[in-house]
Amino acid sequence: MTELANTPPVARGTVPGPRPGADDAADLLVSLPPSDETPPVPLAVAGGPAPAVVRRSPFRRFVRSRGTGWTLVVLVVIVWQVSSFIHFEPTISSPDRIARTWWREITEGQLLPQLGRTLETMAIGFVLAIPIGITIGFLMGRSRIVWGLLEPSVEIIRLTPVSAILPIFILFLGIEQEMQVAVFLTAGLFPLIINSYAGARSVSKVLSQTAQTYRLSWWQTQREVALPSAMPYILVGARQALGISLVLAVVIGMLAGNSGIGYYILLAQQEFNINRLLAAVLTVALIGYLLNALFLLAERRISRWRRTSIGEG
Amino acid sequence: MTAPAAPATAPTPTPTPTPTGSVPVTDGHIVVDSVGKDYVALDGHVVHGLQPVSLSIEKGAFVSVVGRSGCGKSTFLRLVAGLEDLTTGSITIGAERVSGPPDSVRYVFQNYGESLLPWRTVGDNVRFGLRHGHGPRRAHGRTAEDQLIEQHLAEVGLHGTFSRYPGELSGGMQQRVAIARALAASPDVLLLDEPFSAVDALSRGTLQELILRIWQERGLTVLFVTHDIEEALFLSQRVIVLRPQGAGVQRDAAVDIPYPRDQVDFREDERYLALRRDVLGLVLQVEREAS
Ligand SMILES: Nc1ncnc2c1ncn2[C@@H]1O[C@H](COP(=O)(O)OP(=O)(O)OP(=O)(O)O)[C@@H](O)[C@H]1O
Ligand SMILES: [Mg+2]
Repeated sequence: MTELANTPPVARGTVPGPRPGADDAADLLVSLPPSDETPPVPLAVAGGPAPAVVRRSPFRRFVRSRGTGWTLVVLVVIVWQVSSFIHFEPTISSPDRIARTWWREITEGQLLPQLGRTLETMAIGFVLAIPIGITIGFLMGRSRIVWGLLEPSVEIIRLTPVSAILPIFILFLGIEQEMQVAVFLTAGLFPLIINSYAGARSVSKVLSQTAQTYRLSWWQTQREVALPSAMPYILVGARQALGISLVLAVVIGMLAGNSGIGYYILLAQQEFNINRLLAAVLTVALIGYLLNALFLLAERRISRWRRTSIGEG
Repeated sequence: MTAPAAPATAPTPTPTPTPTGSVPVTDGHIVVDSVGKDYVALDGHVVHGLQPVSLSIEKGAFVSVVGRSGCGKSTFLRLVAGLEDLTTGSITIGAERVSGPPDSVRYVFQNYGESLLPWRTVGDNVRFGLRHGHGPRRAHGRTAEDQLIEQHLAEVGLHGTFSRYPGELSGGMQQRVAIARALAASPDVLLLDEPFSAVDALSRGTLQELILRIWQERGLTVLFVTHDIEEALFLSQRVIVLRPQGAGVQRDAAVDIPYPRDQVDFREDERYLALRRDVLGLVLQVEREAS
């Protein structure tokens, strides 16, 4: 139970939800101009259950770890496999067939090239979104003038679903990589803006006054006090951006219909090639899981100090 | 009992000036001239944070400000620290009129735990004070700077905590870090807002002695806010009692008892007892009138 409570409610699983948790921070943006009030901490940050301090029996430790979850996954696969031996159902295929198709598609098929193309596009969009989103959101939180200037546009665009913007992009930018990068950029930008904004607003009064008494310049205050203060929020924003990007990675190929992993999945479905379809879906799931895990690792390294000041061992 | 009783005739000591000769002594003399502060509350009401107060605090003095909660102690310190605009009057430190945080003043906040940078190690927090302090003590080179930081940490009894994070320390230790950081900026005036209120009685005694030692060694002007009259009397040369609800100064009492003061003996000293009766009586009387 405690472990569940400790796991963050933000896109942590392999299947990225539609901007989970973004709304908390978003509400702040709608309702609050920069003021001296500290907004409530919007989201739980940092992952992983706290390491148990108390010595427990191996069994209890296993039960309390994620080992049970992985066992469950393995069990489902085994049951699936065994039942396909007893009675083969072509519409759901079987793990060994999927695995064989997966291996063939990886080694000589189109799976890897298509996936690579999508990931490359996504990476470009993401890498562009990070500095732009953080800068905009952070400055909106730190400067009333920037806030006044950008808040209306951010609000309008933020609340427009990407799926509605997509046709416009296709119209003006075509269906090639250019357009896809634009989509990833746009979608990744807003969680970053909103969370960076919330982070910039979260700088405590005492810290601001500390910066004042030590006579930090505006620039020093941002760099040495405000930005580090906002960092946990910014990391949450980046992880949400990653989650949305993963959703779009598949959707965009389907809609633009010319290349990428989404297109690959679409084709497999249209050809009723269940094995290829499932192999592709599982690959996407795996990639999502890996990226997220990587991200959590980086996040923990960057905000290691947080473990000392929040209620986590 | 072992501590020798201080000679009754000893004059108030003049603290030794900072040993580093190169330090341009900006002078810690503070002149507070009918300084008042009104706040406008969110509901539009005007709240008197502090009604006009006039004081002169000479360089190198240890002055305490006491009074009940809400009487304007923190407000007074924030004004001296240049963190808020004055509603009336003026404050001068040395030759400089306060308008914005002066370089010669460092403030140890009431909620000191929040004022440390939690993402920086203890050492790097002190480095913050060093880098954003006024000039002469700035070290050349990283190792020299690290050594200087170690010295500052040792001064407040925090050996070997350089690479720990504030969140890993106890409240009392965090308070010492905040003090070390302030001292690293080599101020002339140190403002302390109820620094020991969250510390147990034993550590409190140690910290009180620490502050007195630093004050004497560095020749600082110290303005010390507390709600504890006994603590104020033990530490300071002068105790200023504020009236409740920002109504200004009620009593300005000199504590003519020489240093070094011994925690035990001091509390049996007749001059102390007389002063304590006097000040406590006054405060309680006002309290009774108020209710
Ligand atoms: N930012 C503010 N806005 C409005 N009123 C304020 C503000 N800061 C302080 N006040 C008011 O000014 C008065 C003095 O407050 P101050 O914080 O100086 O008290 P204090 O003596 O430090 O109390 P404590 O011992 O509890 O710390 C109080 O009535 C308080 O409500
Ligand atoms: Mg106060």
